Amino acid sequence: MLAYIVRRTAYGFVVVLGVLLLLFALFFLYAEPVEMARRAVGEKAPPEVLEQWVVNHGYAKPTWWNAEAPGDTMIADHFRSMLTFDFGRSDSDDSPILGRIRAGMGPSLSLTLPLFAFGLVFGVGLSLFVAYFRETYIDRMGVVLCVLGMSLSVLLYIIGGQFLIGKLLRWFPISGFDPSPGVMMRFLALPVLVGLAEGLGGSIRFYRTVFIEETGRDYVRTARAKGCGDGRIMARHVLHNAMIPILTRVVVSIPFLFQGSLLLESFFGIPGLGSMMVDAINGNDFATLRAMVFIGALLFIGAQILTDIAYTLVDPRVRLS
Amino acid sequence: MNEALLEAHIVSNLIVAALLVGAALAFTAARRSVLWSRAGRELLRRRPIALVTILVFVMVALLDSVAWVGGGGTEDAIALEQSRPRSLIDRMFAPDFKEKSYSAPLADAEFYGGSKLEHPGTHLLGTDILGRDVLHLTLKGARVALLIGGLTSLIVIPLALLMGISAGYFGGRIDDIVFFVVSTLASIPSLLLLIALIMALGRGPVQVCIAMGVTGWVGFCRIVRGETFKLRELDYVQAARALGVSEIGIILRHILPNLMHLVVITFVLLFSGLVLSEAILSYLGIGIDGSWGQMIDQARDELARDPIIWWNLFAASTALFVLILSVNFVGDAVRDILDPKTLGGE
Amino acid sequence: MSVPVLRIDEVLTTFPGTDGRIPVVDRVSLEVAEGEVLALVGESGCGKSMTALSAMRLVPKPGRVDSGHIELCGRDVLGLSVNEMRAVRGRDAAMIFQEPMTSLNPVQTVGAQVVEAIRLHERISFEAARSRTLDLFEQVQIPDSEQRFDAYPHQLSGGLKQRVMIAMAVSMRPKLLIADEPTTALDVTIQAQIIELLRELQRELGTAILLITHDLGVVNELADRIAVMYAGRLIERGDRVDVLSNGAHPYTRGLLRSIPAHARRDQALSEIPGVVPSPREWPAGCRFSTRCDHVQERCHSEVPGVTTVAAGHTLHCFDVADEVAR
Repeated sequence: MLAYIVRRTAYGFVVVLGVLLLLFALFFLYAEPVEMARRAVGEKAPPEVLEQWVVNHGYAKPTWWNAEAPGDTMIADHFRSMLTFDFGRSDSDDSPILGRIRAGMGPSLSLTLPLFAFGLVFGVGLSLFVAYFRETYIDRMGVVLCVLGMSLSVLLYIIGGQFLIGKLLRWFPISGFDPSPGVMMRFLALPVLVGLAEGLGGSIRFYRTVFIEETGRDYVRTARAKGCGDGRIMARHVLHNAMIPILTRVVVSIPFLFQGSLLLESFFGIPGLGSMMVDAINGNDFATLRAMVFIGALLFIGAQILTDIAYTLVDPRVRLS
Repeated sequence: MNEALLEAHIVSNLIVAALLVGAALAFTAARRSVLWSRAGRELLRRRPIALVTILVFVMVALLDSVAWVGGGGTEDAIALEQSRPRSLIDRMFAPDFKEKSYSAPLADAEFYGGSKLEHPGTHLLGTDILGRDVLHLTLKGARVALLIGGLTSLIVIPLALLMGISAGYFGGRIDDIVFFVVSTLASIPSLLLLIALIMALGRGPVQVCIAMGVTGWVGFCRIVRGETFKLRELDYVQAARALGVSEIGIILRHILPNLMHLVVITFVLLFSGLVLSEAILSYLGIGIDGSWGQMIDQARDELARDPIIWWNLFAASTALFVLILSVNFVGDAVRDILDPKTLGGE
Repeated sequence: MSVPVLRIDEVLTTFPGTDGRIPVVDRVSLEVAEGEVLALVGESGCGKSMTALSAMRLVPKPGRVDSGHIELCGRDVLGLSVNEMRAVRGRDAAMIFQEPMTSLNPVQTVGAQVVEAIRLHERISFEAARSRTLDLFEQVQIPDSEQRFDAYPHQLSGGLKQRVMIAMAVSMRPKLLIADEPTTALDVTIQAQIIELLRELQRELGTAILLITHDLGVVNELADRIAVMYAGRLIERGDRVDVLSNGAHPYTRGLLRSIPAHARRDQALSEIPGVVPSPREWPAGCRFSTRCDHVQERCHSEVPGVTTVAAGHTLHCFDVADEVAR
């Protein structure tokens, strides 16, 4: 088991290197350093200032190979700085990127963690409910509602949520953020609600399919034949087996947490990593974008490794092979 | 003269012609196959409304793709319009069918100020901030939506098939490479990758589609790879190999046809995902011009005004929702019909 | 005369089709006496499994038992509440299935699954149930019972898994054990062991067995009486020796003729021409009429009634009825 973890982590590291290579290609082979300087410093800045900016931000070095000082190239810098989390300064406002990331993590987590937890609980719970009543009106209506829910763009959920609950009903503030514990909830309520509503449709449909498939399996028939009731079957037999595909899906949905946080934070004025990304896009801030994408990938790879490990805990067939 | 040949609208006209020919060919090919014609009839039986709705959208999109310069109207005031290519949809509306700014649906006067409109009572869905007719804009959005879904799928599916089949069939080194590339791409959350790609490639419609294509092929590739692994071990494939059929022959005649049902299912399900993704990109400012997503983005603070301006958002949202809903319903039915368990046996 | 352990009367089980419901068990009646082994024989798709599932009220949705009467040890099964039926299953009547691979919960140890079967019907501690389970494992000849208790299904062979299933089924000493093709998915050598085990258990515990199979060899080893099904209907029944030696229905005779052991070296294997029709395509009148070599005009439109050939040996065939009348 330990060997498996080590192997898995090692491959993960190789993938990280691949990601860095890809990022380098994307950000450095297409970017025009002088253009970036002009955007950052100002259109009318004199050429020397622009050049100085380019040098300061490390864009002046040779890309691949430096004959005079081997190792002093953009690509070497790129790998070195990313792997040591030395992200440097933003292209648009020169602020230290790592510091801003640290500052943004708190607000982002305070949004995504509750969203993730509630999404899982409600998703699994509601789909168990719907699957229990399969082939009845409750089930059919549930599926139709899910498809309807999945067909609405997340933008509409946000705009609708803000309009209905923020403006018409005035239950919660439309946007803004306050880190103090008591007040924070009021500002997070609406984005969490909106994020939940948007994600439920797809989740319930998927979990429902998993539960229905499991319920149709032979071992459930055996359990019934020995006298298990439906409730016990769901709780003690189906749920555990269903965890395996559910676990996969939960991990696959983690990137959507990023996506969600991007939109939710920016729409609802939460100063987290998501709105940092949106600012970076609008400001063509490549340095920040590069760092953010890298972190996103790291988190995702980490999550995948964790899931693989979780599989061994949940599924004895994986553990004992 | 030569430049005229490369004009966007002429390319668009040619593409429409090619699409129609391609569709006709695919249709006749499907008619001949028992499996596909039965599947098609079953689909028609189960989801007639959704199919008709999609057909309407496709028609609108096609009509908007056929454009040419000139014709219509003789007044000097619209001489400027003469030099721009106008599609069949454009020609349903008068060339200068604009106002100064907002107006409510079927209104006679401007929304702000109340001065008389150029074309009172004719804007079925009102006008937007630039005075453009909202119905006109909404209809044109259909073309963009189908472009997103269609062009991107055209990139995703062949790419995924190529990589997936190579990896699954040949295994070994090729599989290692493909698996590594797939893992790397899959490790970056797709929206982040999309953003990075568009920043690098540029913000035109073709670039956006390419970016979405590069981001989207990974999932389908994994499925193709898994299926190809299974298909390769089937008895009749082994028999074909023993008989000396070339590798390409086996792939084309045995592997590929058995993946077609996955292709159809993936195409339909991918479509709605792509259109919805573009809406998000539009919000971030890197979407495609003229899409419903862009309309929604431009309209998003109109609800905050007092009195609220709702028709812009309503038109774009409804169009988007109806199309996606129809595609989703059809997609579900397609997935049930083409389920291997119901396909093979009778 | 003791009460029959299982009594099925005119049971009709249907599934939804494109126009109305399709019967898969078409008014079948049979009885299993206390302690006897009744073999329900027929080809795949004839409805024998569904008959058994109907008896236990385990017909999978969207199928259902539409009409008829089912009695387990004298109790009307169809009239029981859901909770009462749950108490019956596993305790008064138990069932084992064909595919031991998929019939056990893959994420639970086999020991835990047998313990559950016991504790669903008896309020005893886990420890007590565990030691009962270990005894059962020994009874069904599972070696190293202590270690096997903590094993997961995928770690056991097919034969061992089937023994676990049998242990689970007989844990509460049920009056009736329904065995649905218990040996079909196993190797031939293991088949013999399982059949031997069933025979021993039946002797020791006095359990009646409803054995469902298409393998006449297994029937010969275990059965006291035989009932033959074709296309949802019961077409012949009687003593084992009677049916196997003097099987009178054309279908039964066809089956017996086609046993490879009966073939002669220089002759082609005998077979029944045609294929078993699916429930949607069942012919009117006698269902076997399309493949029968003794078919008459009326077989296509009328359903044959009961004809008695010998004591306890009955069947449904116009041709045989004519012969008996002569």
